[in-house]
Amino acid sequence: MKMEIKFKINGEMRTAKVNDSTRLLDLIREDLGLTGTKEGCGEGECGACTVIVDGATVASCLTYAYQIDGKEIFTIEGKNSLRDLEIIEEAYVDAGAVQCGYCIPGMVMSTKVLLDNNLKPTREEIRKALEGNFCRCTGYVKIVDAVELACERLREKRCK
Amino acid sequence: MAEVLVPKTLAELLPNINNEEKRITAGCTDVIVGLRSGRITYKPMIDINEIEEIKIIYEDDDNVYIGSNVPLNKVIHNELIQKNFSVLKKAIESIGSLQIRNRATIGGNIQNGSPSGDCILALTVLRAKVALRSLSGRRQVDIKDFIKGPGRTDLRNDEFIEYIAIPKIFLKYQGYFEKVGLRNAMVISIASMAVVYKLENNLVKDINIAYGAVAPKVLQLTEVENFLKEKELNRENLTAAGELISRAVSPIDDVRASAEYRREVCKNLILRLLKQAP
Repeated sequence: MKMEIKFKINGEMRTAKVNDSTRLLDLIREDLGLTGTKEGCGEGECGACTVIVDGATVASCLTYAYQIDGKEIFTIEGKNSLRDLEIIEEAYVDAGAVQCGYCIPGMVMSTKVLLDNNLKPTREEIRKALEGNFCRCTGYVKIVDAVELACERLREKRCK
Repeated sequence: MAEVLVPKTLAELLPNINNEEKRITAGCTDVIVGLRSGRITYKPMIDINEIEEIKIIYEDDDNVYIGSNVPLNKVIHNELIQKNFSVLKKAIESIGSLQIRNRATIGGNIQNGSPSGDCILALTVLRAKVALRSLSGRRQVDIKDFIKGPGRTDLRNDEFIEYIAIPKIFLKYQGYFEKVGLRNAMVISIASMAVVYKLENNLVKDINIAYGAVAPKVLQLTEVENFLKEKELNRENLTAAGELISRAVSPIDDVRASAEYRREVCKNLILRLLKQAP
């Protein structure tokens, strides 16, 4: 039995037919072809699959697709519809925070929600906000640098 | 074949509950992992996420009530909880990651009945009650009696967890929670401790202590509580309490830590109250 769901993703209204066992991650990657969102552990430990649902980050591997019926989702592909996403992405690149890059889509989504609520986080607050996202390459220092750089640029932009 | 019911109201939910044949779910953060790993068996689901009536936190003269459908992150950021029950806030902050806490609900955490359930630990020292609702009515059970053992609860076939009630008698109590594990986010505890206590003239007037992950269910330490009553929270008394604790716990050896290490951690955790004393 397939369920029909209706949702908004990256600013676009969509419908889909899903099974009760289809994960949000499967819907995003397989059905919608948005492969920016990654599957890491598949158990909610690593945060590579983080997306934003109704303004809050969730692990898309631990959310069923039918559960987003009527909701608004943003993924890393949402830079045309999600304010500031591109600035955050650029800051990650400019700070040298991207090595293999697998964790970055998830990192950027977590960063986005942090900066929506706080444009002057301390390094400790940044670490806290990203604690659900694993990076196996960088050791996190440059990632925290990237978030600080994004804050700086967003504050400048707001002042203009 | 695949089947899931998504009721929008309690009236839609109640006639459909049949816990032997169907699984009530909310955030699904544990259910998805359990099903995919084969640790739990498939049952048709009743997803209660959309029921708004149980997604609220409110109070009356005697209790603060948390609807079972409230996501853990909403509990942490609720003013009533932040101000009055810091032990619960800290315990929940230690569960999963932000991504998990945005979906996992307090009712789901309790229904899982994990012996290391951090939320259950805090609710135990706060003497919380679990309200269970069925078509035939409602009953309240102490949280410590509700959890029967690892993954086993007192939930009857036609019931679901409607809300948690925390008595306001603990409003003026100080609280402490600490979990020892291997990583900040997502840690499954090696050992965890929740304490609420009231001091008068530096003497302990009342204290509730519970340990998690060191026995098949949350361990309440009445003997240690009685020992500490009318005493100061100084190094000597807490060291003696630690000895009693290390004899009371029954930890296990597993991949995360040895039983001996866990016992030592339990003994030393109580010394954290030294820092809390005025």
